[in-house]
Amino acid sequence: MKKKHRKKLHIGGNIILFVVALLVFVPLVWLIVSSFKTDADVIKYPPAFLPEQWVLTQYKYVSEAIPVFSMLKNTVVFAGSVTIVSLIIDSLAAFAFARMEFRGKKVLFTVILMTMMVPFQIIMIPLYIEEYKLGILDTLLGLILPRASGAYGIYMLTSFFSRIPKSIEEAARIDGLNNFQIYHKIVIPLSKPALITLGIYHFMNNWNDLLYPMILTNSVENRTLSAGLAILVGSNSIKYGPTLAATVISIMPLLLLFLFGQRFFIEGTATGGDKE
Amino acid sequence: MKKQGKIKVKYQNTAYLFILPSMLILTVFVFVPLIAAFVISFLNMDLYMSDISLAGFDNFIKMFHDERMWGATKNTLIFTFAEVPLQVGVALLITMLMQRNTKFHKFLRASFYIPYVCSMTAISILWSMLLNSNSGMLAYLLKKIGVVMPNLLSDAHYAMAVVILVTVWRNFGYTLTILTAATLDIPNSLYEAADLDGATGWKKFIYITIPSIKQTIGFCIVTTFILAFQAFDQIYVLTGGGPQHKTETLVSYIYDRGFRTEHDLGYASAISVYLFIIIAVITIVMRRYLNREEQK
Amino acid sequence: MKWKKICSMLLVCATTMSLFAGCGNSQTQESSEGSDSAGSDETILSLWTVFTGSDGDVLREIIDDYNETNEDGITVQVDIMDNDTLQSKLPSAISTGTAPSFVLVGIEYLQEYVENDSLEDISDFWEATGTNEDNYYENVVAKSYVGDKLYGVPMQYNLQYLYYNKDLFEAAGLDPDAPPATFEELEECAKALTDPDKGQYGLALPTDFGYYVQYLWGNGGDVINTSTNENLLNSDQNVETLTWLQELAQAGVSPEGLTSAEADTMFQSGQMAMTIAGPWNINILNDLGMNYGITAMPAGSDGAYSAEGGCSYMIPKGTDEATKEAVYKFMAYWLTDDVLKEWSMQNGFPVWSYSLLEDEDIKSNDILNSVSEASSIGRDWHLGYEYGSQIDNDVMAPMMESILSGGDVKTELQSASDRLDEILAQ
Repeated sequence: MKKKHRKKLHIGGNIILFVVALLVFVPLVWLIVSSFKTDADVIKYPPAFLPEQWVLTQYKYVSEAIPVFSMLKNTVVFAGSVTIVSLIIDSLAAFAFARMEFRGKKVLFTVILMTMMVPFQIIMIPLYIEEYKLGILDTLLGLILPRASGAYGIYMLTSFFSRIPKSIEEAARIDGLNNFQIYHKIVIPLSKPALITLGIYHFMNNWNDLLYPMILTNSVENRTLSAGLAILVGSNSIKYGPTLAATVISIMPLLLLFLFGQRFFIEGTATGGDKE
Repeated sequence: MKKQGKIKVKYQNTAYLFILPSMLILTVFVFVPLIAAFVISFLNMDLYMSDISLAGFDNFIKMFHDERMWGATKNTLIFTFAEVPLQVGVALLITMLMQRNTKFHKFLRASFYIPYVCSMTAISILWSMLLNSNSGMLAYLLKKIGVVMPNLLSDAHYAMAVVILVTVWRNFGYTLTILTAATLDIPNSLYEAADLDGATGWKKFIYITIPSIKQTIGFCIVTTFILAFQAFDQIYVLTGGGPQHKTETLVSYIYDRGFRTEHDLGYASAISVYLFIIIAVITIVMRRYLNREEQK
Repeated sequence: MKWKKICSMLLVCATTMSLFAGCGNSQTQESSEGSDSAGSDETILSLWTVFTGSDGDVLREIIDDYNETNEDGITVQVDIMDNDTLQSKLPSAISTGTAPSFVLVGIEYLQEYVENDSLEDISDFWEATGTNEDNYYENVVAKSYVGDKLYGVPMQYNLQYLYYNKDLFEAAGLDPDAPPATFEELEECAKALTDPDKGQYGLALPTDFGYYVQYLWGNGGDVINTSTNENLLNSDQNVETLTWLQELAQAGVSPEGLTSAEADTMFQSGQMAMTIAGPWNINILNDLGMNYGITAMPAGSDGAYSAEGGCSYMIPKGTDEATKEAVYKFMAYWLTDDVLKEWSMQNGFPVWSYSLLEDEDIKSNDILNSVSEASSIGRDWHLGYEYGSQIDNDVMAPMMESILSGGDVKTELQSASDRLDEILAQ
């Protein structure tokens, strides 16, 4: 009796899973497939799922309309640099918060945590003016610097670092290692999973970010992919075909990275959760 | 971090060296702008940044008479309090269905993660095309079976729901991954004990799994909440805040007033300050609550 | 383990790339700056514009052509963005000195820019480039003047036109050569051309269409008297017109909650029999091989009116003399008959240069002829009026949105009129 019931549940569950999987896949496949349609095909009524003939017109159009490769390069530089620099800076700070005692620690940590809740839109206007005064507006440096350290990174690494057993640290101290050596030779190697998790998080978020790069860059040479595409197609795009192609171009690099390293994305995300 | 060593605590001044770079960055690019936002909210200042003058409380007074601002506050709350439970709920449901760590389930988990890898911008563009009621695929298929789909994104009744659902569609895989990982860490012995009691899968999930991953669920709720409060990209692309400002949240309203129309930086900053206060209050309440939970 | 290795490799790649990119960037910036100030070999001009439609392709072609052929070493780099983005970026770019060399935007923004002191006075343009101002329609050129100072060089001029699909007319038993000329005929045709089963609609009534004022004008109504700031919105004529529009919408001639961009697309795919829009659709309709016609905005009880529009090249404040000089050269190039001809021929924009009117190709172009014919009913819709965009965004748009979705006409008109009063009281 019970076994049967369980089996039914099992089948029912799998049906739900199958439906959800379809809901996830079909739109994505539609997007990719449709980007190979001709102009007339895209707006054809009644619509067809598959292109009548597969063409690269839309991609050609997009690559002529905007400097896709330079934007791609900017995005890699921006997301890559933010990831690396912020990992270094945040882990240094996190080490201090997790393993050292100093005056004002609690207050500082709370204040940093508070900034996690501050949406970019709140500081967007002054940040813009400030970057202008500093002369880094509309430069890649101006995109990277404000993101070079962040509350989330400090918070996550602090909680990870503080779970490293005290005994390991004490042993190192007996060996005569100073704080920086402990950070560098012991804590960092032990925290690789956390660093990878955070690295992916930063890379993905900055890659996909829209408003931040859109506000802080003006010239097309410094524009990132997400912002470039959003600017090209706008909120009410007129040309469906190129919009489709542009969208595919913007998601492809991360998607490929994910397909080849998915275990690594997923394990990264998974380790993110049990840090609380 | 034990309290008992109070006398022994030796302050290490090198710690300041460790936090220096990050403090520098945070000060220049977060704290200073935050304070500046407060200052600007008391000024008459537009995007051209000429003729700046003192406004006193004018911007705030104007704000309290601004219907759009109240609408945006309401929409922000609706969005957050609908999106967060939905996203975590959907993820929990699917976690329940995927408790076996089989190859098939691993594959599905990876698949559900794919939308999250794509930017919200891209996902929103994709859905706005699919949902188009005139030339879109979905409307056509529905029509075939006799259902007339309204133009969801420009219909005041449905637009917010669509924005919420699209957000959930993109993000649930992320929450799912975190939750599943936590369930896999639950020791098998707990389930075995339940098996002896004859509990079914569904009951086991409620009485064993959920309590065991309570903290992780809490983590998911908090992080989702933070992001939901800042939701911008999907609204910008899907509806632009319309129809009739029904999907306009506070952050999109700030953008609209400050950058898109009117270019009124002073007024936009006043709304920013207001938003900041709301967020601060919610954060404090939430921290209190979480702390109490932890102490239980 | 494997993933860790790949990860570290990726990170290393990213760092090195960032280093290289850093160097590359600073170099290119220096070199372009150098040439700017020296004004010798190469001048790179950046141009921001809003031509996201198919006319943008023609614009790019013309500019590419110019880049290759001009002998002054000028390269114009076009950056096409949607209007919202451009309008949000330009003011801040001007105030922070990161503005492009010149912009190409709708003339309705000219006034606002000038008020905020963000445009260069280019009154010496005609003389400096030896361009004959009198060769161009006065009403077109006048729109780039504020007072007696010139702030823009006209790039195109247009009204709103009624596009109709001849195939659908024929299929519905209507005469494809007799498009509707009055509101009554428009209504008849719209209803006759609507066929919900086929997903076919008669007339596009997009909620975000910016020129519903044309219908109001047609029956003798108006929104505002821009010279006296008098609010003319709440009138019996407007109630009548808007009720009529609402009934049309409720009769199902247009899908609910339609946007202008969708209306264009539906016309292209043959789902929409008639739509009112600017000339920027002509190029893509020709490309798609549509069998369509263009005619003037139909007339109401008071006559036929169509809202004027256009785009001008403008130079942001703070642009240095050398750059300005180079921009002048390009603008003068645009005003040559060859370029204007290509623009009109490919996009169907009406001709506004007297010398070009004599051109044989222009004279024999059917679409252009109907466009020119339909271009005599232009009327100024708050161009250069300081509250113009506010009226569009805060008065007209919400009012039309509510009325088209079934709100009570009199109430909506009253509340729109109140909002207009508020704006005028500022």
